[in-house]
Amino acid sequence: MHVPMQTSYDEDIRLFRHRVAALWYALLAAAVLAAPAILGDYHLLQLSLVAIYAIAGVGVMLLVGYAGQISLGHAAFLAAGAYGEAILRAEGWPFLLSLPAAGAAAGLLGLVLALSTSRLAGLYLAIATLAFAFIVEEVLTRWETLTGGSFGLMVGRITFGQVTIDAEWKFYYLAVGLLVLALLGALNLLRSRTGRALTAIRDSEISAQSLGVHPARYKALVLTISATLTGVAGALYAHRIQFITPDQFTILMSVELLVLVVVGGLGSLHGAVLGAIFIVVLPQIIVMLRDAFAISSAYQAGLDAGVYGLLMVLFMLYEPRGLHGRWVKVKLYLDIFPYYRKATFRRQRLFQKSERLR
Amino acid sequence: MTLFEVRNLGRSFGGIQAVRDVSLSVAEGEIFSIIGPNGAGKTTLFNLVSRLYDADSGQIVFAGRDITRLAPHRVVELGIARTFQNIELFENSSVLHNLLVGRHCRASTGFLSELLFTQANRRVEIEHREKVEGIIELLDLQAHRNAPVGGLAYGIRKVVELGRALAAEPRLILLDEPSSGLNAEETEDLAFWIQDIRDDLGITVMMIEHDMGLVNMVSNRVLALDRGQVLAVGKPAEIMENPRVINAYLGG
Amino acid sequence: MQGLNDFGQMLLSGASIGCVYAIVALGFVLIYKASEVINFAQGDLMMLGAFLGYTFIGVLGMPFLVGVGLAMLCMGLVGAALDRVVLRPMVGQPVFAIVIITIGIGFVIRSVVIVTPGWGTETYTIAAPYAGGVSALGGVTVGNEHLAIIIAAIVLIAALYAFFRYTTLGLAMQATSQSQLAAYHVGIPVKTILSMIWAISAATAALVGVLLAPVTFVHVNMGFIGLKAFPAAVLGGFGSIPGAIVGGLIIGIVEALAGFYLPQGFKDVAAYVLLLVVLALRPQGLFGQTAAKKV
Repeated sequence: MHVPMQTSYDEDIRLFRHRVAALWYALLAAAVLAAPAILGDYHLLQLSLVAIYAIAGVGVMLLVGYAGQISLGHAAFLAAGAYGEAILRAEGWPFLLSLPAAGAAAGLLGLVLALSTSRLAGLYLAIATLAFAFIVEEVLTRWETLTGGSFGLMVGRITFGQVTIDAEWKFYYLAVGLLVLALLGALNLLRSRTGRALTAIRDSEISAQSLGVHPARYKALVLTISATLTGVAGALYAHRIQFITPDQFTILMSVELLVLVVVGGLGSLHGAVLGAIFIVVLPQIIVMLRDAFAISSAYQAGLDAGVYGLLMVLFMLYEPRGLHGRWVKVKLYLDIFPYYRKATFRRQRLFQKSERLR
Repeated sequence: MTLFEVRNLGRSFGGIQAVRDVSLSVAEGEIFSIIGPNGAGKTTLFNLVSRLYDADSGQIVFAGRDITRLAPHRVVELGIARTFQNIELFENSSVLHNLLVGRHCRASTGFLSELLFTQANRRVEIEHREKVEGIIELLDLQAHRNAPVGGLAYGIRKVVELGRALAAEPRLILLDEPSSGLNAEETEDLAFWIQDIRDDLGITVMMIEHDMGLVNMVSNRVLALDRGQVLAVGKPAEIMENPRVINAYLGG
Repeated sequence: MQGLNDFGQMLLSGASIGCVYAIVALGFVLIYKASEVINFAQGDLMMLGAFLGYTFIGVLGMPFLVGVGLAMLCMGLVGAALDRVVLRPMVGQPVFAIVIITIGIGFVIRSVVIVTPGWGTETYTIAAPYAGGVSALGGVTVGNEHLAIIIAAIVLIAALYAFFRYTTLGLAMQATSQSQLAAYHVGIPVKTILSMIWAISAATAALVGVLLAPVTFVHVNMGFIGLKAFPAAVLGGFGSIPGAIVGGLIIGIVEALAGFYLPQGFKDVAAYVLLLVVLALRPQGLFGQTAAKKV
């Protein structure tokens, strides 16, 4: 078991708490960088998809896992980013401008939604985002001159001046690079005043307020950040699948993003990445299950819905800290073997806690 | 010198007058206790002061400034911090993290400097940490520094909440039943801490308390409240002997 | 005159769909009041109830009323079972976690319906004995299936009112809604009461599901209609049963009018636009009163 001997406060603040952790992350970085040399295009494509989901996952995690606000409408922000990117690229904007603009467009939508709903108690936000996503979906279908309606839009390749992202490995590096930036930014916020304010709102809005946190302001901030990151992921997603239609951004996508953070592990950025890996691998597992039980592919939609639903129920019941929480437990078990006690992670029951506002 | 003053404060909830025409003033450096039977309006009074509720009538003045209509999140930056009757901690965070949230109002790092974690931001973080370590030392919380508060014993959670309020460096601290749920030994510790808070940190203390032993031991003055109204104010011994106060407690 | 007549017809058919929203919203509100949980699976419970009704009436050939009653009974059991198996272990956990579970339950129900032989993603109808005919109400003609919903809603609301007002069980439920702890202290079996509230909520959902079938058909996506009950409940202030009913009616009528007077597409989102406007301007709902959390 590693017991760090701390000699300065900075050791608690910096990104890698001790050398062993830094070493593991260095190894991971090396593996990620070396991947294109080892893996074929198909697996690289899957990994880029993981990175895209993880960027959106970081956004959803900040909102849901850290600030404790449920969103059922993140597909709308993903769509805003994807359509924003597709339209701006078609207008001839360079990628270096269109990507931030697509993210900003989604962020702006998030801000508008946040400003109009920030006085609401937590659960109302879920309903408001749901309503918002339905409206966005309808607008995408109806505003045919801009979005191509249900026929959809073609999305071209990414170009930086002379450089064209025309190979899987190039796209992979781009997506992973953006993911790393998103993770670093999120980590920095989380170890600062903003991050503490977010978790404070999640755990007790009333005492957060009595300590000077302006709940409405921070809720607006986190929804804006979350929408922006999801928008950036949407822009990459548009390039990844090259053809976007409104029916890719339905409530099912919103739920998928929610499953991502729940399964990955609420309240951890590791969880956002683990969840993204899970979401990309899941359809393949479902297909394997389907074949194993010889279920007709006509039931595919039902299986998807059922697996997502069951995952949400089972994880909330049995492992509310998700895959990351499970990993932490396993690690502790191995570290202190044979002294592990189940009670270490016993869930607290909080009776008499009421969030009721009316 | 008067630090805090309430003038003719009133608040009703659906026809029930929870606080009725309450006036009081607290001098700087005083330990001022509020006693009264259940439902007397003590916590409502605190909630009015920390601006969780809006007053129907009257005025709240702190350090010469009228705060009757101040936004609730601005109260603490002026120097009023509080604790809650049924502990309101950030359950999923460590003790250290809880205390650091207490520092929220004492810094103004910009979003960009946080996003990039600049050197300036790092310095501010380390300053916060130094302040918080001082409080951890004062309240003997070293052993629990990195423990999630959700798993701590009730008595320790109460102390963490006190520490969190102190981290905000208030001039006035409102303690809502600080000794409820504590055993005799913990209550004794609490009495010393309350005096230390006043003597060493120079913080004025207002507390709602049922434990008369504690009230007697630390208070400079005591206010008795019943059915939203002030019954009496005075030295602890005077209040204990006041026939109206005794009557209110006996349910007369 | 024709315009006025159209308008009256619109109001009536809007009101009948509004009654559907109102009753689904009522289901939300019952559960919310009792346990502070927003049940995102309410629409899917309604859908499952409609499929059960279809099976009893359409497939097994039971008399209409018997089928409706049986569907309500079954759904009541489903509701109670959900509470017992999935939600009771979560008592004392953050509401947030429980809400995610209800979202999951909704998807599981969809999945069950899709993979059940004879149900799937096909569209079915329930042959109600009154369907097809029209009634004239003061110069305005209205489809019987719409009228049936309105009448059923009135009967249901009256029955629930009487139940909560005059029966011991109903009063115990009200007490539980006011304060679970206080109810527990006076000897009310809070856990059982919560299961019963889930049962009532699911049974009412089944009733509207079956009544709605002649209007919109039985389909796995019926649950989305339940999502429009959110705006209804929010409009009514979420904690208020009369509020939910008025909210439902407003949503139904606004939708009908939007479908008639506004370009295509507006009908589907009218409820949500209204919801966002209300949330932005009057977050406590049209009728809700604000009360702060007690600390």
